[in-house]
Amino acid sequence: MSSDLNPADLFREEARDLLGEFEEALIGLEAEPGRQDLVDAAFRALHTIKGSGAMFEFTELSGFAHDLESAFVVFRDARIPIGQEAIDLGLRGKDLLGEFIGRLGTTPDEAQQAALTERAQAVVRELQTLVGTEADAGGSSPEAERVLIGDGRSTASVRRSLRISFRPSRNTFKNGTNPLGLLQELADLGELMTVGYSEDIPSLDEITPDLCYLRWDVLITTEADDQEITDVFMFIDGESTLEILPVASGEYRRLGDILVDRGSLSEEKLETLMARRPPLGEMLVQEGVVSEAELRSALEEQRLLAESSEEVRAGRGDTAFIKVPTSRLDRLVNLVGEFVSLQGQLSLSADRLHDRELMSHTEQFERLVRESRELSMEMHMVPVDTLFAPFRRMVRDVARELGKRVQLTIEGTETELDKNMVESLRDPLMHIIRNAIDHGIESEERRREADKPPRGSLHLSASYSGAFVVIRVDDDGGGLDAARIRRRAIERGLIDPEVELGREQIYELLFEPGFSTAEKASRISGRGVGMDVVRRNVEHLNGFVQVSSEEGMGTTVEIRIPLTLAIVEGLLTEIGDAFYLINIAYIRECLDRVPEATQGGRGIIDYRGTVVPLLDLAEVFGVGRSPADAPVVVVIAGDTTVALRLTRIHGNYQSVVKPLGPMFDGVEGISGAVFLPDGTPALMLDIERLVRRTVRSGYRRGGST
Amino acid sequence: MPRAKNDPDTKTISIRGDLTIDRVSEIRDEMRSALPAKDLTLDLSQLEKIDLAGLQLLYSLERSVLAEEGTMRVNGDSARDRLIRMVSFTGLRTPTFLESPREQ
Repeated sequence: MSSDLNPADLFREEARDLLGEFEEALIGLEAEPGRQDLVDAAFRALHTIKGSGAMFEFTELSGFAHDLESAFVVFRDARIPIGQEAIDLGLRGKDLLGEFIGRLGTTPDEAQQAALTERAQAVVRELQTLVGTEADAGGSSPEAERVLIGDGRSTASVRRSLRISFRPSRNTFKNGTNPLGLLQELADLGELMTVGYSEDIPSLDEITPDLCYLRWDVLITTEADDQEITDVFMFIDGESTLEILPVASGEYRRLGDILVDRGSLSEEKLETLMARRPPLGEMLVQEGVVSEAELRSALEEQRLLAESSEEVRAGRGDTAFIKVPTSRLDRLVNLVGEFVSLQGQLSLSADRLHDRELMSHTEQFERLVRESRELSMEMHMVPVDTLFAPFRRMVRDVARELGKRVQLTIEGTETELDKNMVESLRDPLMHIIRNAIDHGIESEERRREADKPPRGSLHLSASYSGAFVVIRVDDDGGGLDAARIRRRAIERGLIDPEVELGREQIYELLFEPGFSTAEKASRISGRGVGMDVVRRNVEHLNGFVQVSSEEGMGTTVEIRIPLTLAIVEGLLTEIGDAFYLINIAYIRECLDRVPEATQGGRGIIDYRGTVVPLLDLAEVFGVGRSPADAPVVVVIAGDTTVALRLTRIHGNYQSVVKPLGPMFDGVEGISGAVFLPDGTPALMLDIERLVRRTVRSGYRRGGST
Repeated sequence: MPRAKNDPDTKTISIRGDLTIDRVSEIRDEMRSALPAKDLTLDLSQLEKIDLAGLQLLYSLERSVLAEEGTMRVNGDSARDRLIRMVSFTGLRTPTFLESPREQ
């Protein structure tokens, strides 16, 4: 069970989040350079990456994070505004950190690794130069200078904590050794928590004032290696005692254990005292077992340990969350899915047997299964922000590359989506956004000519709509040129020149394989991937993508996807003598005995006063014609309502839908399959495509596929 | 030069110049001659350098004063600030003469 949870994975996961935060802070600073909270956020993210990286002994990664952090410390402390150059370097640094992280746990290709190190060092050097000049220009603080001086080496060793017990000899002052200087040298190497002991200092009558009665415990958190630490104490005399011990990191330690370890307290004594209860610290001092200073020092160590383990827990000490590998979650969702299928079969059997006891058990079982299904699905949901966040950077980079100015706004980031969907939506969305910047939003001059603000705006949003999540990309660019799209479609032989098409029908052509409106394919969006690939990807998720546009005003691309992939609640129906399932999310109403009319040679019905196209699915699937009294299901996809005539309706059925595999990719109207209790397959109707096909029918040459 | 005023209860010890390793023995003797004191003021307004040996001596003085159940405070804001910084940097216990009176 423990096989899939290793620290490297845990760190990778966390570091990716942190890199995201870092990037976001930088992008934010680009817009508002003066925002100290963003500088702090950038700094914090780097700091945590460095800390946990060191803890897992990813030395090079941690060292690089350290160097980036050092530069940001200067910005932070000297309050130098972070300029464009620094942000670019920061972003490059972020990308490199991402590469470092990507390589963890893989066998390193030495040449590649060396190249990566070289690039990392280049960024650090540029950043240091930049920081140096800006710090000079802006008047740096002394602390800032110290950071720079300390950064001669580009990769530091592992950051860890050490406990240094230093008891100078009595003759220390006379020998010319100044413990204050030693402490200062240590402070230059890392962060200190110093506890000095003054208890041994005698009264005026007894003191020999030039002898040293002081001693210290120092906890240092540092990247310096052991040699650098011991070098500090190079000149202490032979009578002084020095002990340097590593402090175990990342774990909580009982105060008593720390004191026993340090020799301040014996184990037996601790046991006796623990028998009487708290608070241990006060008790020990009262008993005279340890001095107050010893207690303070141990408490400092305890605090340090607590802090370092908190840093591991994403720095927020939020124990309300645990990290679970997605593979486990997937397994759970699959298991629950199987439960749901089994439960469906059980219900059917109970119905058939008319056993009342069995039926009542089945009902309870159904309720529990439903609850666990919902719960397991919830666990699999992530906020859509995980999908959106990287686009901030992408929009910025693409816009810059094209010499355009684009303002990205994001809305509805808290909307939740199945985690697997997030992965599958990334590429399609990236393509849509690239398109919007490349072909949608006009150049600054063109925008001025059109009396638009010089900066284009791009709006990315997510919202719920029934059992679907709607993701929209709106731009305020030039809009789609319907005439040009039409011309291109005729050139490509996609439509007959004579056929009149509505605007929406013309936009649909964009999704035809091989269609590309860009007169010249640019490097940004012309990667041989068209909107057809976008549509195919979205349809793999049982989703749907649609374009609307107003010439001169902008374009909207809308993606609608079901909330979850795995389990579908459907209506079990029969067409001919085969079983089909319709996702309940699409169903508006089931009708009996509907009078059918025809209009322009196609079937229609009057549905609540509006004319709705009627599709006889038996005809569509080539199994004859349904009788006129066969039931009709009214479905709605997007804004289009269509009536489907079926042979028979059986009732609700929920099940895990299995994909059909690539062999069936070209089959229009089917999106998956389920197995009924007796092993009979039922096909999942692809309502989106059926509806679209209905809308489109009549203008396509050569009939249906 | 340290100088102690001779008043049976309230006494002031002034330390001028350095309170460093080469002078601690001499200053210790001056301090001793000022004790016992119920209410001791340490005037550090003319203090120049102080090192760890000097600071150690102040702890020793405090120990003697407290042993006689006396109290002790420091005059001289800049010296006081310096002592507070030094105590905090060396991680030593904050002596009673540096505790803020408001905290009492």
